[in-house]
Amino acid sequence: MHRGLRTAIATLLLAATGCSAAEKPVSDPTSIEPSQTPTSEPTEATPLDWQPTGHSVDERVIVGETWTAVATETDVRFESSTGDADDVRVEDDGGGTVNAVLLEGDTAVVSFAYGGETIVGTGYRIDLTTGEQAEIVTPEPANGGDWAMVDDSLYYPALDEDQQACLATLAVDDGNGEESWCPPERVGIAELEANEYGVTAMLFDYASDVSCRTLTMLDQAGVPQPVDGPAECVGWDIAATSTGIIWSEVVKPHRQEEAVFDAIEPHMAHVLSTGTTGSLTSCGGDTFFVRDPVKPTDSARLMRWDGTDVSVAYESQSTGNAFIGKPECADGILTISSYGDQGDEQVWASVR
Amino acid sequence: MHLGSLLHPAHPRRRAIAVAAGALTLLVATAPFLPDDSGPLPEITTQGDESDQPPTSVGTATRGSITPEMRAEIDRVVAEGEGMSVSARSSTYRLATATTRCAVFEGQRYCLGLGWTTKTQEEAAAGMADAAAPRPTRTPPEQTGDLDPAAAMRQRADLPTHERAAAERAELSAAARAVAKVWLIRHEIQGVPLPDGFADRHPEAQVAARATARNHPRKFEILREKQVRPQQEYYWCGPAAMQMIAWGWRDRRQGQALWADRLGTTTAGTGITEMVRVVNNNTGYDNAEHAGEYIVLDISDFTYKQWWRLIKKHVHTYEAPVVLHPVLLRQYFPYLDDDASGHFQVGRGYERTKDGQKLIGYFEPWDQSEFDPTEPRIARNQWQSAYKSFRANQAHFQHNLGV
Repeated sequence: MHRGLRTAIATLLLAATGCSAAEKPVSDPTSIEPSQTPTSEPTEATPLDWQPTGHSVDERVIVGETWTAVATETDVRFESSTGDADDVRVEDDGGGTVNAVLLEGDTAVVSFAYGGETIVGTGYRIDLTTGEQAEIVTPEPANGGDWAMVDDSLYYPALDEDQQACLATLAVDDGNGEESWCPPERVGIAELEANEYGVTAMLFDYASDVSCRTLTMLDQAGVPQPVDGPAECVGWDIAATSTGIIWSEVVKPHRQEEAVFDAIEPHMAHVLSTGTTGSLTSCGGDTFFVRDPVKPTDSARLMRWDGTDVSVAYESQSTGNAFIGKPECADGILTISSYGDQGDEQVWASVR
Repeated sequence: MHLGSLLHPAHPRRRAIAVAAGALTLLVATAPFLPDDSGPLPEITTQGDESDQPPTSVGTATRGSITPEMRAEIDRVVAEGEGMSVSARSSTYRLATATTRCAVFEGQRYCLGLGWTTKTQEEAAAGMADAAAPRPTRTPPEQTGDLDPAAAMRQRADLPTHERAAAERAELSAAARAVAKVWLIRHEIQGVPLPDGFADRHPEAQVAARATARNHPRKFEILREKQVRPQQEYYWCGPAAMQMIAWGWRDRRQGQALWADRLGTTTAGTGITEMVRVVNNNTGYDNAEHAGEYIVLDISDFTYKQWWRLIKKHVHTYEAPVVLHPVLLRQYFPYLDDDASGHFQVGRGYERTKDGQKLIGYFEPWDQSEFDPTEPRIARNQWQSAYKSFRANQAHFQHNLGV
């Protein structure tokens, strides 16, 4: 059944984009045949210099190079790291609650989501040097979902004329946006991730009890193209890397929390580790995911994939009863919240 | 060989009969309410033996009687409320102090709207006031159907004085009848000694005194995996959870609209005291062969070990589902696309894996794909880190369970 659904999504994609099966996505780094599938052992890596944020894990904090974002239920406060600029506060007149908080240099994007059956969301572009805020109007944001930003390009779910969720792109600097791609009927977009190596997304069907999921990378026309590597229907996270892609697969639908992370570099496929579904985060040229303790003596770990090797970037003080929230990144700086029975901590480190 | 390994999956009631046959006679004589005689049809699987865990008794308590002392305490708390001027427009602090009042029954404190707690009335009210006020934390952008603190207090405050008094009297009376259950949990899970004369005062708890110790297996689950449905409305996690609990008892599915009606669910959601009341009145999971009277229990003073022991006891010893009450934040439930509100799930299994990882099994009513087009659909039957579920339960502003 899943095979059929995946094939159906792929077929619909090809029909919608005008591609034929023989055509390859532009700049598809995954169109290689892996020669083997070794299980990678974590290597020794230069330890990151983790520093406390000074906030509780109950607060959402994103540390950047010149600004730190502190998000509450209803607003985001950007604090100057050097203290030589006034705080910039962003809130939504419509009473929305904070969803995406993206920070890059002196530029930020904040989206707000709404409960109930609301389908329209809100987003703002913010120039932190002036405090100027501009609402993102076109294309109209959909409610919730993943937003991603790299350089001046913003990717987010937007509504078309039929109120269907499409993929939109927008230049953050001038606010010029366009609807880049709308999925076929009964197909959704999630897990958007953008970095210097490419933009990736998961496509899924609405029809199944458990959605059949296809992992894709956007081609130069901004159209998602299925990648080689992930097994049919079970992929979840995906990100482009300096050497190929990294992705996760949820092997057991009843263990949605746990995924197996794999990576492909030219001519080599790797099984990296088990990890927490939905935790894949690009930062500073590498990709990171978190891993729960497997044994009572294990720490919760932040794993790092640099395109060639996997290493441990952070270990919790607590063992056994511990976990790490999804990392957040700004300006090549990671912020993580670590939870455990020996104490929680929220820390940041530059990964460049 | 431990008793659990003698069980046949198709005959879950055999264990209780073997352990407490004598007690059943007593219960028939003393329990004023045995709600459903259609009997449970849970599917039970047992695997291994979690031998590193201390044995636990099968003690529980059904509904007890209300003593004159309890009646006087109920009268006191209700009268206190009748003398207070409060409305839905009152300030958050005023609402919290007026609606979060507590009674003490046999040394155990019950606070209206919150449940059995070790907090003082002032601490409980302050907690509600804090939860109802905006604060700099990761808080939910999306409601799934758990009654939020402000709405809960305003609903109660908005009632005419006589209706509010009647509702509070009913809630306190139900609590008073369940005090033996609270003492047994404090005793068996938290190690608190039972008070002198407890057994004499509480014939409804005699099962505990006669109980035989038994080990928990390494893995145990109840309820049939396929008897699940996602919530049909964004504010119906309560009705959907109740549907799955009752389905497990009756082996017959009844519509979520029916359960929404019985729970008094509004677009603001469902309160946990209503969840517990409806489980007690509409299933037999509250009888002596199972969990006894369900109660709302504040677990903010529980360690993780105690919480885990309670889940195992409920699922394995009682063979009864737990009304889980977490807050739906992404750090606890990685399948979420957005943070969401307080929530109800149906706790129905536990496992200590061969590596020593502790997992909890539950039914998840929230199908984000139904109300949000940016998230794929996942299986309703989930197993995940028990520690994450514990932290999600602790992070909820009420930090309580229906057990």
